[in-house]
Amino acid sequence: MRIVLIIVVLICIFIFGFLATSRRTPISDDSVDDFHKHLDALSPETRKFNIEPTKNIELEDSSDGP
Amino acid sequence: MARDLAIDLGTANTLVYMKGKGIVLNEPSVIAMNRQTGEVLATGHEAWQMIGRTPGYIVAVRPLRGGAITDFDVTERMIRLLLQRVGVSRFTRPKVVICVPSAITEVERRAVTDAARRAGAADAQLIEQPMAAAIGAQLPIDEPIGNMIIDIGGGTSETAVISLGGIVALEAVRVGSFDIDVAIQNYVRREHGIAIGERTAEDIKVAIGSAAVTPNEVQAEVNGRDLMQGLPKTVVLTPEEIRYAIDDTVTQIVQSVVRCLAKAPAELAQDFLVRGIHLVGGGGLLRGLAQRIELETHVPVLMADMPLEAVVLGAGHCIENYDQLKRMFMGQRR
Repeated sequence: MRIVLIIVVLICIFIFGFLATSRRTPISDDSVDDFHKHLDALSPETRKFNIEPTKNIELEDSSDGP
Repeated sequence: MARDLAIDLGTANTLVYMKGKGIVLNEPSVIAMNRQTGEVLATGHEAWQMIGRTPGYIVAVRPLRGGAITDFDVTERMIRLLLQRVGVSRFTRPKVVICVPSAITEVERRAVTDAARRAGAADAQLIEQPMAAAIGAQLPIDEPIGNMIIDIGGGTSETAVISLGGIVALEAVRVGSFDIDVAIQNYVRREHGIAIGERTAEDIKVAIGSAAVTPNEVQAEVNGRDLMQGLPKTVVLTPEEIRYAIDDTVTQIVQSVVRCLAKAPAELAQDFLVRGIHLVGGGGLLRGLAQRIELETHVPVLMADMPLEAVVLGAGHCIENYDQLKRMFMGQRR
């Protein structure tokens, strides 16, 4: 019974420790990466891939129309 | 699996962009209903043709005015029908990004998201129209330089300065190309004594409307109803008359651009002089408007490649890169 209790306590300490360290991991690195990803997704090069196929679709559609 | 959608829910037109496909719908934001039973009879182009020409039991309305929902139930029904037309069913509920005016109030914001959710969207996010327009117009908004964009829609005109993926300065007025149509209607009624409809006023604007003197100007014959006799009557309108009629409205738009320039940080002013101001939206197609803004701001004005589609293309780009661009959505900025 005592062994089970010790194991439970250890598991709780492990989980608590894990959560505490994961929260302490520097957020700034994540936010810097996030911001770079955000800016990269807004770069004209990235947008070209989405917007140019759209133009083609539109041109095809308009040629089919009445 | 539903394809996510971007919707430019404009006062004049509604455009829908489907992830991986591009623009799949571009129609006037008009719905025609049976006044007695409340049944929807037509939407889009078909309903637009009915404006001002319906029998008593049919009403053709624009459920948005000044970029805001004026009739929540009708807007919800219109969005539901639009989503159905692009393949959304109760089993396929897409994520939706909706472009809205930046000056939208909290109540209006909730009205739009609720309307989209009730119409079948799994999640509805909002993005400011000038931001979406800047993305769609391919401006280098990821760089630390000042990008200025003017979006003139049916009910709103918005000017924004964008740098490093965020809005630096913003100015919005609830004045747009529909107000120009109303100004033309009022002028013709007052000066020529004839009543003309919304669609005729728009035709006059497109045919001879201008914000500054342009080459090869022509006159236009306009048919309306004589207010005194009640009989059909034809009058001739000149471009000078129309310029005079719409001057107040055009001035309000130009003044909002000037205010936005004044709000922008001084550091970015040189960027505007070099890179110019970019113009998008249907209202921006008014002849001479770019020259008029140039004249009053002393900054070059350039028309975007796809002025009518820029907003929905920008929102479409956010749908294509949803995770990276989450912070663009209203209420998501950290």
